Amino acid sequence: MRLLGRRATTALGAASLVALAVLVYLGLWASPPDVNQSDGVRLLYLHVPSAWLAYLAFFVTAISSALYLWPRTRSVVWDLVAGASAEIGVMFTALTLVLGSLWGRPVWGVWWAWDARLVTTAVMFFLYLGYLALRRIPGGAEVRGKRCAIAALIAFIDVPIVHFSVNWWRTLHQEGSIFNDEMKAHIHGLMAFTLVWGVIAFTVLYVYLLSRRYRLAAIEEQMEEREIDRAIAERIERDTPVLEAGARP
Amino acid sequence: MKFAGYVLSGYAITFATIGAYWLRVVRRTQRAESTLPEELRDS
Repeated sequence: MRLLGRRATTALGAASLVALAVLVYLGLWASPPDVNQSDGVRLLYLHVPSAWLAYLAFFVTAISSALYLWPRTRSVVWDLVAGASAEIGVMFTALTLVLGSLWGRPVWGVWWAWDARLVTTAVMFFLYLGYLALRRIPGGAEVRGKRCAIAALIAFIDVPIVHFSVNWWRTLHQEGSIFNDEMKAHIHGLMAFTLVWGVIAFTVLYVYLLSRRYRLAAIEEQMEEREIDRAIAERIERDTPVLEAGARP
Repeated sequence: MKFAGYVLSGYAITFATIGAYWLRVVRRTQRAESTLPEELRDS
């Protein structure tokens, strides 16, 4: 019922805590303000890793869903990993939108703009929120697993659209600071280090949260199965006629 | 620090959200584990 061992999960939790503490130090104190954005850039050390984590989480959901749909690899483990990863992805997509909005107000002068990157990210958030709602609809484990896996693969179409929206359309949102058309980094020194550190810290945090969320999902799945077994046993017991001693069936 | 209100709000919201989510998962796991038979609790 565990994705990772107990010790590995604890070690990851401790590593995430340390990495996030270092990120706060780098992001709020050590790194310098930007020439154009001033201290607003400090929000990007959380905004960019949050967006990366959302991509990663939805990628894992898509891969797990494909593995669940493939008959040779079908296992309830993949369905549970897909659900756990999507939940984490939705949380980090929400954070991406909130942090982007907090950054946009002082730097762009607006909380929100009907910009391709912002709109496609909001669509991604609602698509996966719908996916999580779909997982809660009652049904047999296999039927639920299949329909959710198909929904996850459809929702994943939006992820590359979000990423490439800044290249495909003229947008207010800037291109990637590292992964852009020319693959030329527009960020250097301690600022680049802080950004990369943020991505690593959030990735470690993701693995830790996924491990914990998977365990919860696995226990709940087992509880549900036990409930069903108990209900079936009670039904059989109730419907079976009680025979008197010596009576013939 | 310029834009301190926005920056500090962003950091506070991020870590409060992550912390609240972690706490929710841990508590739900503990509650669910307590209903499992002894032999399955640490598997």
